[in-house]
Amino acid sequence: MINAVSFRRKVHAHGDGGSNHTNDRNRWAFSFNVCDLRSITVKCEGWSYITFHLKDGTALPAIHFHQGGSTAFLDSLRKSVQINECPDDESVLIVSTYSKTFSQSFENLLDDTNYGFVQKFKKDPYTTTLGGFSKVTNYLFDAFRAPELECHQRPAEEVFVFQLDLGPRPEVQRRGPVTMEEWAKYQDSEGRITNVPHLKDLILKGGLCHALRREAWKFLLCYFPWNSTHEERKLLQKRKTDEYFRMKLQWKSVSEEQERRNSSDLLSPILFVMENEVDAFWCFVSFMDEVHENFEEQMQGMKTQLIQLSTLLRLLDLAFWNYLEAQDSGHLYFCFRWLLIRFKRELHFQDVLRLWEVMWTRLPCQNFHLLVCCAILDSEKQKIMDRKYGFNEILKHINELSMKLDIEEILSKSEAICMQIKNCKDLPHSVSEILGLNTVTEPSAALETSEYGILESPQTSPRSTHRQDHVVSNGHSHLKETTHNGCKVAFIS
Amino acid sequence: MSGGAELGFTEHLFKVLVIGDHKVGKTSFVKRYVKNQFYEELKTTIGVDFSMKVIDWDSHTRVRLQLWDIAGQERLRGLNRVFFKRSSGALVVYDMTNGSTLDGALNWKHELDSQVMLKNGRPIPAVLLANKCDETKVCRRNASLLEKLCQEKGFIGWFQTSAKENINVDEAAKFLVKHILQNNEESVKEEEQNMQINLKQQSKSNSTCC
Repeated sequence: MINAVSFRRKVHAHGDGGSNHTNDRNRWAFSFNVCDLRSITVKCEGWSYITFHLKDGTALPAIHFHQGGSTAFLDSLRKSVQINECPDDESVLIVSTYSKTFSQSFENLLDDTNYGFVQKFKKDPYTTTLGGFSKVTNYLFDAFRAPELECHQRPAEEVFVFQLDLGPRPEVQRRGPVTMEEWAKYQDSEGRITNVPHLKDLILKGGLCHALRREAWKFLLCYFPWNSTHEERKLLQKRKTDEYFRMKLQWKSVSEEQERRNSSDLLSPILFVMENEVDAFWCFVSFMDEVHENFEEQMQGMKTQLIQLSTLLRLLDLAFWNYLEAQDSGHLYFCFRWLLIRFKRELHFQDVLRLWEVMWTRLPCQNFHLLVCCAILDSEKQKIMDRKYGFNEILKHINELSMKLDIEEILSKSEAICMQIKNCKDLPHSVSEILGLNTVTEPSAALETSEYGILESPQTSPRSTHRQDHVVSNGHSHLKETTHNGCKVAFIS
Repeated sequence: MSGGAELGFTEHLFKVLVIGDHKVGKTSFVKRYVKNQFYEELKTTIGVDFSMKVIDWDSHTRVRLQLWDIAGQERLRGLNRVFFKRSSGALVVYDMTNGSTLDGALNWKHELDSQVMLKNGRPIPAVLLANKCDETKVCRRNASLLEKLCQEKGFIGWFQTSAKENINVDEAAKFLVKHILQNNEESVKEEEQNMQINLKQQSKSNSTCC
C-alpha cells in the first residue's frame, strides 16, 4: 500500500539506482500515502501552488502549477479522500480519508481519471527527465540539488510541470520550385538521378514545378528507383502495366469498391498529375503503403498519430496543450481530418500537390506531417486562447481553417520547428523517436521507454522501421512487397 | 445557450447534431436545409462539418442553429462520440431504401442518450428522419412501426424526408427547434426555482448561524 506522487516507484522496480539520472530524480521526487495527509494548503500568486501537510507534521515541498491544472489535481484527489475547507482559513483544506480507499493507490486513482493531471505528469517523460530538468531556471535546479533538502523543510521553489526550453526558432527561407532545367542537371546520360539527397533537399525547400511532377513523383513515390536508367524504367513500366491490367480483371466484380476508389481523396491528386491510370495506380500503392494504417478498422494508425502529435505539441507549447486539455480537447480530435487524408481537404488543390511532394522527400525528418500540424496550431493558438474558445469553438475554428491556409508559410514554419527541435540537446526520447532523429538508443532512454510505456508503446512503431525499409528498398523488390497492401487498401476512400 | 433579452428580443444558439449511418443523406439534408440546394455527388464527411442556420422564430426570438453534420462511417463512430458534447438536439437520419440503417439510427440514438442529457436528466430531443422518401413510400404498416419505435426509443417524433425533393426538411427541423425552445424555457424556469430554493436555504442557515 504505497501511494506515490512520483514515478520513483517504477525506477525501483527496474532495480536501478546507480545512474545519476535516477539519483537526481529521486532527490526531487517525493511520495506519501494519502492516508497520511492531514491538510492541503492552496495558494495563488499568479499561479496556484499546493502544499501537503502530513499527519506527522511534515510539510512536503510545494507543487507549483504554473500552467494551470491545480483544480483538476484536487478533483482527482477528492476521489480518494474527503476534502473540506477549513472554517478559519479558506486556503487550507482539511483531509479526511474514506476507509474504503485506504488501499487505493495514487496509481489507481489516476487510472480512472483519463486526463488526470498527475497522470499527465507521469506520461510526460521530458518534464521529468534530468535532461529537460537541467533547462529549468537555475535557482530551481539548485534547490533540488541542495543536500539539506528534506521533507521537514520547505525548499525555496520548485516546479511541477514546466516548459522545456527549445531555444529560438530559426528563420527558414523557402525557394522556388525545382525547374525542368534543374531536374535535368541531376540526371546522368543514361537517365540515372545523381546526388539524390541534394535534389530532395531542393524539393523540400520549394517543391516541384508542375510540369515536372509527372516524372518526379514516380521517383518520390518509389515507383521508379532513383538509380534506374531510362531503359530500365521503360521495361519496369511495361511490366507494371501488364501486372495492373491482370489485377484489374479480378477487381471488375467489385463494383462498389471501385466506386469508392473513384471518390478517393488520396488518389485524385495523383491521378491528376499522372494522367495515366497505370502510373497513378503504382504511385498510389506506395502512398497508401504509408497511410493505410489510417484506414484500418481499429483506427490504430490514427490513434498513434494523435498521441504522437500530442507528445510533440506538449514539447513545443505546454501552455497551449494544457489549455486544450482544460477544454476537453487534449485528444486533438480536431486534427483528425488533417491526419486522415493528409490535409487533402484543408488546402487548395495545387497546395495539396506541393505539400505532398515535400512530404514524400521524407525530409527534414520522419513524420514531418505532424510538425505541419504543430505549425498550423502554432499560428492559431493565440486566437484560440485569447478568445477563450471551448470544446465546440475549437473544433469549429480548426474545421473552418479549411481552404484558408497558406502552404508556403506553413511549410517554412514546419521546417523551422523541425530545426528548432533538432537543435535541442535534451530532447526527450519519445520525441526523437517520433521524428526519427536518433539512431542510437541510449541506455537511459531505454529505461524511459519502459517506464512510460503508456505513452511510448504505440509509437515506437513497426511503422517507423517500415518507413526506413521503404526508403532503402529498391523499386523492384519494394513494389512486390507493397503490392499486397496496396491492393487491399487501394479502394478505401 | 441563450443570449440577452434586450427589449424583449432573445437570440438563442443551439448545437444540433445530425447523426446516422454512412450514406443515409445527412450532408444532403443539411445542404438542403441551409442552402436549399441538392448535390448529386457529395464527398464523404470526415469527422464533422459545420453549418449555421438562422431562423427568425417569431417577432422576438431568433434562433441560430449550429448544425454538426457528423461522419457516419462505422470505423469513425467511437471517435465521433466526442462531438456529442453540449448539444441541444439531434436529427437522427436513416435511409428508407436501406433497412439496416434504421438499426444504425437506433444505435446512434442509444449512444446519444448515453453521452448527453438535459439538465433534468431527460434525453435531449431527437427526431427520427426517414430520408430518401422520394425513392420509396412508407406503407401504413411501416408508419405504425415507426410510431412505436419513436415511443420505445424516446424520439420526439419522426418524418419521412427527401433532401432531393425538399420534402419535410424545414418541417422536421422546425419540429425539433420547437422542442428545444420548450426545453430551454423549462430549464430556465427550473434554474430560477433552484436559485430561490438556494436563497431560502442560505437565509435559513444564516439565521441559525446568528
